Amino acid sequence: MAFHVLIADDSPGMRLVIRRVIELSGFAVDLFVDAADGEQALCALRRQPVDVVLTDINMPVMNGEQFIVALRADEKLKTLPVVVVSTDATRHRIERMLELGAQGYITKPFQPEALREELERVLGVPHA
Amino acid sequence: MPDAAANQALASAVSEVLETMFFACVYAETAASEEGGRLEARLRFSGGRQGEFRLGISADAARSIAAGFLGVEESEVGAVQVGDVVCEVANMICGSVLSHVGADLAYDLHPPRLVEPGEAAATPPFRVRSFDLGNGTLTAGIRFEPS
Repeated sequence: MAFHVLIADDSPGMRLVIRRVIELSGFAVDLFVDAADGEQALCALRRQPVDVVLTDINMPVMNGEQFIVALRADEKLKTLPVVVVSTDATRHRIERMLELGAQGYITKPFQPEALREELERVLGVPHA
Repeated sequence: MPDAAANQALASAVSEVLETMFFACVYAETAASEEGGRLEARLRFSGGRQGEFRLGISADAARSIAAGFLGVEESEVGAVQVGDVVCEVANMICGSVLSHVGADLAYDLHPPRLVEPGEAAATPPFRVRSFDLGNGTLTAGIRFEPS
């Protein structure tokens, strides 16, 4: 089974790298959707359903916290799994994002295997 | 913030970030470089700790790291992409340093920006460490300000 993944990050380079890392990890994806901030991500999700969202925290227009709050308030998107991908490894931030409704959290820098394991965990996919 | 902890965090963060995400090796610590053509990114942080992080890197090393990060040949990387990647390196190293020195403190990283040529150099008291990347040097510096 292959998944649809949305990547929200204001850095085009980082979006590309996350995409490459997922591909390198062997996690099966047949559609990537890109967004530069939370607002773009919400618009994209209303047009194109995905299985999981990867989001940065520090983004312009609508940051990662605001994006997750908006997702959880949307009747059609509130159960969509979200994994935060951030440089911030502080306990406070991780707890805050999980409280807001993220199911996973991975800190940059990360190994491909770590990202794959987190995606498999939040999607309930048995480890290959 | 003890000097030793900040210095160790800088060294650990530079190695961890460059080797894990940018496919670059840190060969050894070296003297700070002042050669021309360097790129510099700066970002501020606030919250439990506030201050500024600065990252300077040789143009050749920056291009090489950008190519590795983006998975393309060096000749295919444009100046804007190199600048974006330098900012991303600064963002990751700064976040890693702050997490090393205070995992219990919340902070916010402000967007990194590239410094224009001729803009004022680092103001002491930055804690600075420089590293040989094989094709140039990278200098990382952090300054914590009183809350």
